[in-house]
Amino acid sequence: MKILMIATNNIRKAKVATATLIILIAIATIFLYVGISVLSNLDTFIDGKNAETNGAHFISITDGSHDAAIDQIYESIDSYVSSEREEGLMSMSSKYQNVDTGEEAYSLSTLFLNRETPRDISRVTIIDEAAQIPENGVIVPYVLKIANGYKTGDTLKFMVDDNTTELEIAGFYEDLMFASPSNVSMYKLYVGDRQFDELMNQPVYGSKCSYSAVITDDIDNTEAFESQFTKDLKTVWPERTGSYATLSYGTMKIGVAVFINIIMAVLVAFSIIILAIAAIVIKFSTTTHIENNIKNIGALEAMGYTSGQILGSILVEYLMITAVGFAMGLGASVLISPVITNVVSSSIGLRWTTGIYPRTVLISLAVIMISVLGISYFSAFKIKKITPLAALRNGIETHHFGKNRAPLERTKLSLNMAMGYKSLVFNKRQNLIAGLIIMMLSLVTVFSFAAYYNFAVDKSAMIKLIGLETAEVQVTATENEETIFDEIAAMPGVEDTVKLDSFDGVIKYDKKESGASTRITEDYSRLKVDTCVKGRMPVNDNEIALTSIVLNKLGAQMGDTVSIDYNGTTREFLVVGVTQQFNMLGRGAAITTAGMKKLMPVYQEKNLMIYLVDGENTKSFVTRINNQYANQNIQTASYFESIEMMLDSFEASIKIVVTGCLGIIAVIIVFVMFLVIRVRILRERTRLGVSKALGFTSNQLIGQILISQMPVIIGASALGAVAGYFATNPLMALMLAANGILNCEFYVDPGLVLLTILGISMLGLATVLIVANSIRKISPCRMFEEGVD
Amino acid sequence: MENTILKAEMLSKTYSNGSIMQHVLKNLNIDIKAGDFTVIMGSSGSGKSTLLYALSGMDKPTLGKIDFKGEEISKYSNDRLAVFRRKHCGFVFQQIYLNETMSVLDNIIISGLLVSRDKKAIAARAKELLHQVGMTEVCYQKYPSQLSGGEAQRVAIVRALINAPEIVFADEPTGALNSTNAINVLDVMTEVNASGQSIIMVTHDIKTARRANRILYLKDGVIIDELKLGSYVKDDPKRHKILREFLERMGW
Ligand SMILES: Nc1ncnc2c1ncn2[C@@H]1O[C@H](COP(=O)(O)OP(=O)(O)OP(=O)(O)O)[C@@H](O)[C@H]1O
Ligand SMILES: [Mg+2]
Repeated sequence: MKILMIATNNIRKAKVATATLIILIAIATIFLYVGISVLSNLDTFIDGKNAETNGAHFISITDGSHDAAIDQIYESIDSYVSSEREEGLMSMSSKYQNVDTGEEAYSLSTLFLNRETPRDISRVTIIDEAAQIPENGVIVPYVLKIANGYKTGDTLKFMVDDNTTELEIAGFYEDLMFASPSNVSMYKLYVGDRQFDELMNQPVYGSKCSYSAVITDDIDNTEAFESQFTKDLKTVWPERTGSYATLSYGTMKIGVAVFINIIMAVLVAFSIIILAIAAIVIKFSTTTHIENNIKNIGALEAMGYTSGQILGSILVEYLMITAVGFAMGLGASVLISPVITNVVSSSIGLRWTTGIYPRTVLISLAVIMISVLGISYFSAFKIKKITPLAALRNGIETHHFGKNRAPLERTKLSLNMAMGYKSLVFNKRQNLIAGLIIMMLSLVTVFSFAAYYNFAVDKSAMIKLIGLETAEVQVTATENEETIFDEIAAMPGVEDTVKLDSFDGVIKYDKKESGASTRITEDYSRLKVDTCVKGRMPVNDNEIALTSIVLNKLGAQMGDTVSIDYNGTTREFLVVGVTQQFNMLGRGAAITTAGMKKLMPVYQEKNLMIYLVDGENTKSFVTRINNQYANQNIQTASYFESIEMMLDSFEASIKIVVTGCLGIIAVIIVFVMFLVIRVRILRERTRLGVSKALGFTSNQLIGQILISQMPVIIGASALGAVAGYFATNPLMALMLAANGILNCEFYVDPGLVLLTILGISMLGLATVLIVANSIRKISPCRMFEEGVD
Repeated sequence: MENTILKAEMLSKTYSNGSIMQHVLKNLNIDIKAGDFTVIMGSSGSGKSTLLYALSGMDKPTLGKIDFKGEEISKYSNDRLAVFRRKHCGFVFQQIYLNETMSVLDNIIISGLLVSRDKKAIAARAKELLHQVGMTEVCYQKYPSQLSGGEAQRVAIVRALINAPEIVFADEPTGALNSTNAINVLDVMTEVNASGQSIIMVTHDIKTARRANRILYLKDGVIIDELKLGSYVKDDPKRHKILREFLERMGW
């Protein structure tokens, strides 16, 4: 096969370009395959996991006062199959510290259940079970092992105020409902009979609760079960005192997958960026290939080869390269699967197992093949338009000669400057493509740096996306609120306080409805975290702001009037703004205190957000408040700490991913820069050889090369980095769009932008010098010889 | 006229292509006197271009030594050789090799600027030489790939002559020229030679070879014979006959 021969010959001649492309395609394959395989299999995986332990479809936690009524409601709902009920201990203001990992104490609510209670729903299968479970043994969620590094045998200190109980970790369990504190900020812990009784008998640790788990016949519609249940419960038990919570499988499943979906979206986005780089590299190498071989192509055509055959040989060449790159990428994906398993497991809190997914392999292969072959077809297509004569005469038609910009007769440039400048101007088109590649590389660098910084170093932009306030302390009071809140605001160490409540509202519009965590405060401009992305926050009592997720679910827009149903009262609100938040699965709403009073005239703010002055210790402040109001009915929590705790499990995974991406980007940059610069310099070999023959010294020639290469490198890296500075947030928002994020405010350090420009330019300079230096040792005759990439 | 300007002793050049070794020049001795117009002839592949590259210090010989005015240039570093070439040599390549990134005029001036800083004088001389080889002003700002083969060859010749080098190496400088243009070019070369510059030229053409005062015949990397012709005299039938007989003897 003649075409195959030409193709393999091309590959042999262009070793560096081939290697670079193979690497790019392999990396794109890894990202694409891993991203798609996780994204498309996560749902099935979680359902399968849940089925293994007969996991609950719905859970309610109440104070036990209405158990019979609740059971009746269950039975009245069509999809109900079975339920189980047991006693538990609910501790709202508990704190934890793993003594063995040396971590700091953190706040998280707890639900204690008795390990020895027989149960058929959400059975406990213990991972890493202690050979002998000690009396104070506790079975903790699997996420603590995979994300926080807890081990069987570690001592876990459980604290409420000044009371401490030491528990020993005796194993881990998997349960979607309580898989990760990023989803439900509560631990479900299993302790043995004696320990359970001991805790139950100490009221300081919390209050008794009634925990019930339900199985339905429709696992895909558990939210409907939940809303039916909530509605029915209101009629029998309107006031709902004490600890009360419901969890539905569907909501928890989405919640658990949010972060990993973001990570995988980041991976897929990276793979698309890499494919884009590969595309320009292909464009670059086909263009230079054609330019360098224009005479050969002309000769082949003159001999009678059709341009279609030559085009075919180029396509066969890229087909072979893609096949090798894809196979390598697939192999590498298998090799790195332990890392992926770790990342996925720690963010969903369940033991993920990676397999080979033939469908995903085919999808990735199709995406990569189509993009690579498509781009090589289009960039090589111009061969069809070149006549053999034009090709033999060096493709005159493909070159437009501009005006002679610096005629030597008159120019003031020095000799080297003039020659460098001339070759710079002469290679306009190639400069453009090379510049585009370098721009992309520097854009991606800035983007990766920014992703790393905002995900792993300074998380404030992430926290803003989550949509929670950054108050250090939260106080909830149910009596004397006004006096207490005023006193706290005047306390030393307090910088600011804002009254901010929220309730689970149901927003209705045109027969559709959506649940939304509805925030209430008097003046939204006083909040520290601004979640508004369009329009404005509500100011008047008839105004509301909704997240885009809620708006989409309702099919409403800004300017529409929606209604809120609250304990039988319905009021209409005008949508004046769009907000965004990860929190509560992106379902959020915001109304003013006055607006809330229209729904509930006796409404009184119960929640105070307290922002401490810099340097004020949160722990000691909480203790101070608790002491001061010891005989008042208040609850105090280190608010911000628990948000950070929630971010921690996410952080480990995202750190692995962004670090991996940074490393890979670095490899790509080095390879691609080397390729581009080498090809550009090798292309000029004959010209350089002749210059040397005429009497130019190596230093003069290296000087000329620097002048003809560096402006493109420096200019393109600067343009790319600046573009990266402006494009990072829109790109990020695009990646997170599915989560209702319209606007990102990631911090892009101008210093990093400068560093990127400097780094890429220096790398370019080093490459130019290394490649250019090879002309030092070569005699002019050797440089005439062909054999160019 | 008897002082030697360029001298090669025991010159050898071997190319290795993978495992195959090809001895292109074999223990070759050559002596060029100042003011000589030397023509090297020989069949294709006999090593003529290789010899010119070696003599001009463009390629390092595998063995042997080359002296320029008593200085052993074969010991020079690449960069020193470059400086040597710019000061003393002009070269016309068989493949022409103009710099495609710059105009005709710039291609010539760039060589001139290596030696002198007087742009005006260089440009003036370039235009004068271009005129002499029959190139008009239309060509000045053209780029090499816009030239015909013969035009490009004449530009390359002017480039080699721009610094009035002591030795001009010309590898088939008239290969692409019609007879009128060839005569113009050779007239320029003869004139240059008359003013004392040495010329070493490779050619396949008897009419061109007639211009020389000595002919060297190269075969399989060895100079097998030499013909001394004396200074060029225009339209001398005897000169032509001697040359023809010499070449016939050589089996040309
Ligand atoms: N770089 C090289 N590598 C290997 N072999 C070479 C190289 N350059 C020349 N040769 C070989 O050396 C021999 C002499 O080549 P050279 O170019 O000197 O011949 P020539 O006498 O100038 O021929 P022509 O009259 O065709 O120009 C040839 O057989 C050629 O194949
Ligand atoms: Mg030759």
